[in-house]
Amino acid sequence: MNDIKGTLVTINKDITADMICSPEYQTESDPVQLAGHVFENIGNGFPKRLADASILVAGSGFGHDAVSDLPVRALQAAGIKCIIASDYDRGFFRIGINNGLALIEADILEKVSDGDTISLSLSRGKIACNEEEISFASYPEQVCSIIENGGLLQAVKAQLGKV
Amino acid sequence: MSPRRKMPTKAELLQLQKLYRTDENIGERLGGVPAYLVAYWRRKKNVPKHSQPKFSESEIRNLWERFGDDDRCGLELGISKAAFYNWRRRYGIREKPAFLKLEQLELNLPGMDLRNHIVPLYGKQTTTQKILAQSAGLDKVKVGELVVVEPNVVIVNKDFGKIIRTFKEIGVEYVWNPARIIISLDGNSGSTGEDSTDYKLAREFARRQKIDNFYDFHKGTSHQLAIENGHILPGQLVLGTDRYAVSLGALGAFAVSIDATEMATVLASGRIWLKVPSSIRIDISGRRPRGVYTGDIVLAVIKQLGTTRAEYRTIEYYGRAVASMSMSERTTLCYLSAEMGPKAAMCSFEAITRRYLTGRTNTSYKPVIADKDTVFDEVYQFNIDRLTPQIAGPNVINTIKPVRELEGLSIQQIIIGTCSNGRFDDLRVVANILKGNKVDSQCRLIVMPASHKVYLEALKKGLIRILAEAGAMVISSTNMSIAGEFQRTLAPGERCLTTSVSAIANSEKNNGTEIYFCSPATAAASALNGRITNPEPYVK
Repeated sequence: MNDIKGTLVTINKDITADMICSPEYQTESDPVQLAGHVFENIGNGFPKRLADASILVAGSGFGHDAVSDLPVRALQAAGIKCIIASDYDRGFFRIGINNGLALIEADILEKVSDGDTISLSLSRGKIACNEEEISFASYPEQVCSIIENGGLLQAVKAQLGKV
Repeated sequence: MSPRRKMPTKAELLQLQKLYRTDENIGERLGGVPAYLVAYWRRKKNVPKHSQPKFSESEIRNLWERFGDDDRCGLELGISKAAFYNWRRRYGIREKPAFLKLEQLELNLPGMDLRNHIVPLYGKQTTTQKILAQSAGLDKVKVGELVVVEPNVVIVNKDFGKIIRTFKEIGVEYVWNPARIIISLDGNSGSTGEDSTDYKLAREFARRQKIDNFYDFHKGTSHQLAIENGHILPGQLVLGTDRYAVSLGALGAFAVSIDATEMATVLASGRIWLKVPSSIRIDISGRRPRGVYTGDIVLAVIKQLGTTRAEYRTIEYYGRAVASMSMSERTTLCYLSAEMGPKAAMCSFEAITRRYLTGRTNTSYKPVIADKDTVFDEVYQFNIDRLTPQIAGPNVINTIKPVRELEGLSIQQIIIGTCSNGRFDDLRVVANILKGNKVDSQCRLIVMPASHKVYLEALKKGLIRILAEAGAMVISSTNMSIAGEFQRTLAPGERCLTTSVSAIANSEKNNGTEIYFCSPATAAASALNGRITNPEPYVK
């Protein structure tokens, strides 16, 4: 699953962790319930716009003040597989990838609009969008396997199980 | 781990040789297999001792392109000029590097600026990039790139229960390499029932996995133990479980902290992904005035940079003042840098580092030094010629004032020591101030050496006696959590002076008490008067 393909939805910059999902749902473990609370207070047509999208395109400063895995879990519950933003909060970046959410550093917010379909390859570091090819820092093999297996723990289990 | 006794296949041996080169290293990687056994396997599988040349063609070529001088290149590899020439000839590299040729051309063609055409073939790398590249098995790495690295040392000093349970969940029987793992039981408090079970679990885990570098909580604080026992070497990549792992950068190692789940996977697989951080260079120049110590220098740096500027970046310390710092001062410098939230902090490798390691380790090491004209993300210059003692607080680290401004404020409790400021040098400073005097009757002074070794040394040199006679309560080496226990003895409205930053970090829980952070000298001088005091007149 090195290649991700899907419909995208765009969102503005400086999205904090609390905007993704309010911390009051910290204990919520049902993904369906959690999905309903993603971008609840942000307006602008959200969360409805998320409905059939699997890729989120955002500006700089995504996921600030992330202290738990709640925003990542919530986004995954809402069906997001991949986020493309120009930069992330360091905590969010680590938690995201370790939970199997593909986080890509690229600035394509201006080039795309809602409902576009794009495809990208993590191991080659290329995004194909609107007949244009954009490159980003590619993922090493092991990180690809984390995304593929849906989390760090699962990836290590799969890798060491084989030997 | 009971070492792997099954003979590897020929392909595996060749692969191991490619990565680790010598029999000793291969043995270590396989979990403590003796070198003679690896040699035996090689003979059985018909693998020569050196199926890979000691230096690869790209390595030789890169060096040659970079310096274009046999002598200089030989120095980099630790071989003679002639030996480098032979390696070069072996790979058929006879031509002079491109930039040298261009320089000669430049002489011949005055007026033409050829400098723009010179593309450095070997990018300028910071220490961080070099260490990460080395651990990832790459020639060089870019800032922002994701790399998968194998750490040289792993320190587990927190969340034992969670780490060990997750490790078991992965389903691997043995850890990746017991020789590279250190378990130290500090960090968590052992006072509650749940934690003591975790401690027991960690002890059993260390025994079963044959982890020799296991330190129970009476031995001292984990980072001090790792440094004083020579576990950390310059140029290594170190992973720790708490944010103060950055203090290990004192030796020129790249030390980062990771969370419990990641630690469990590292114990199992020996690999982790990291994003190459950019670096900030901090130059500290000048001579330290009387009464000013490392704690004051760091506070001055934090005052200027703030607590968020260095986030996700490496702080590399350079400059005259850093070069002359002792190892304990360097540790304090890197330890306190954690308050700026960096990925790692490190001091440049100096003769002091080499001297410190002599007699502490038998392992050979190769210091990693940033390229000469490396471009850093940001560069800051500090001069400490006119610095005065600083104090941070109450209860937050980023309100920093000169001690002068708060002088006269009464203090009920003073804590000196633990891993941020409890080394022998610090205790000596404190003892010199307290010698022949008494701690104020309204004030309680508690001193905690950073480790058992420090405690013993201070005992032998008579420092403990001076402290005890002055009326201080000297506790055997201990960890941060016990420093935390002492916070419970503070009543609302009381003031505490501490040399441990973690106490400040935890202080939000203690409503109504005021906790200040300062250097050991300020703390000792204040103990004599029962009020915040500028230590300058007291330093002999």
